[in-house]
Amino acid sequence: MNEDLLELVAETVRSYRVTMQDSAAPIAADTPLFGADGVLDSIGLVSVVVELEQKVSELAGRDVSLMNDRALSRSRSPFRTVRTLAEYAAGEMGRAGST
Amino acid sequence: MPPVALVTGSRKGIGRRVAEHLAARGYRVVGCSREPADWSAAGYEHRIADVTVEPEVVALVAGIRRDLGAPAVLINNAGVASMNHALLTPGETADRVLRTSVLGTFLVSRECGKLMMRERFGRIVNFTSVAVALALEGEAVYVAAKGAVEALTRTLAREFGPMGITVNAIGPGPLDTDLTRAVPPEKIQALVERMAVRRRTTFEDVTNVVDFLVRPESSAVTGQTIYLGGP
Repeated sequence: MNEDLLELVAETVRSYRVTMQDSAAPIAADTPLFGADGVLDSIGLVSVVVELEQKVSELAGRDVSLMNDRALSRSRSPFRTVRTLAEYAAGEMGRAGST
Repeated sequence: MPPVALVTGSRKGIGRRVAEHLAARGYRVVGCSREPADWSAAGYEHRIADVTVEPEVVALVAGIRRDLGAPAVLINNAGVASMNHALLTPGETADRVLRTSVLGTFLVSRECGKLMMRERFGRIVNFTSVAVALALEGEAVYVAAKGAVEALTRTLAREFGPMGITVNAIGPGPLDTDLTRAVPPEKIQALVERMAVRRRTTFEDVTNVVDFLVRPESSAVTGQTIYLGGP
């Protein structure tokens, strides 16, 4: 796992929570993002994914879309934790011509 | 830095007039259409993009962000009409009408919404028509497309509301544009007779409501469709 990408996801989540003045819990690799114990509500998840899309597109030097049919059709959501989202983003960055 | 506005379908008609109006009001306006524009104005620049082609929309909005920053205002004006009896309307025409209004409005709103969300501010104005309120015969596909734009307006208003973005729609009565020029005057008159205000809509009627909807003070006005002339 790319540690830089892991930190990028964690930082994006932290940044959103600071914006929302909701920064009590620390954000680590296994922090649940969404669901019963998640640190993000639905708008928070959308905001983080959009922000992360922008950042990984800048890193990759091309448009990388994180919200696509591949993400939505997975039996286990890539949006579960900081780590699964980072792994998923790494996969999408490596995918040729992903837009 | 002046606020940035994107106006789709700005080569002519309502789009051009709204783009000229916003540029005169001090906005940095980017307009787009599939063809180059044959007009210019201080504060206005034209870019080529087909709002129904996703990669073109993504590139258009990314280019605006890079060159000028996030748009504060989006005017989803691009649209095509087909005035024909349903029994005589080809599927290809129906597809083009639906794609331009519905898919185009969706795609440009999505891309601009991503940037507006980061700014916690955005004003999206869509275009519908009194034809929807009147269920105007002879415009079945156009009415269906604009009805979908109204549904999109209400739903996007809810999805974008927590992000500081308002989404509203303006439904003009008949204006003097290419869309209505092909319609016989007596048909236009009959339409005007069915409206509460029995005159044609003017461009000033449209820009007046645009001004109201894009004002920062209109932050509580969202999900609304305003028909000009009344249905």
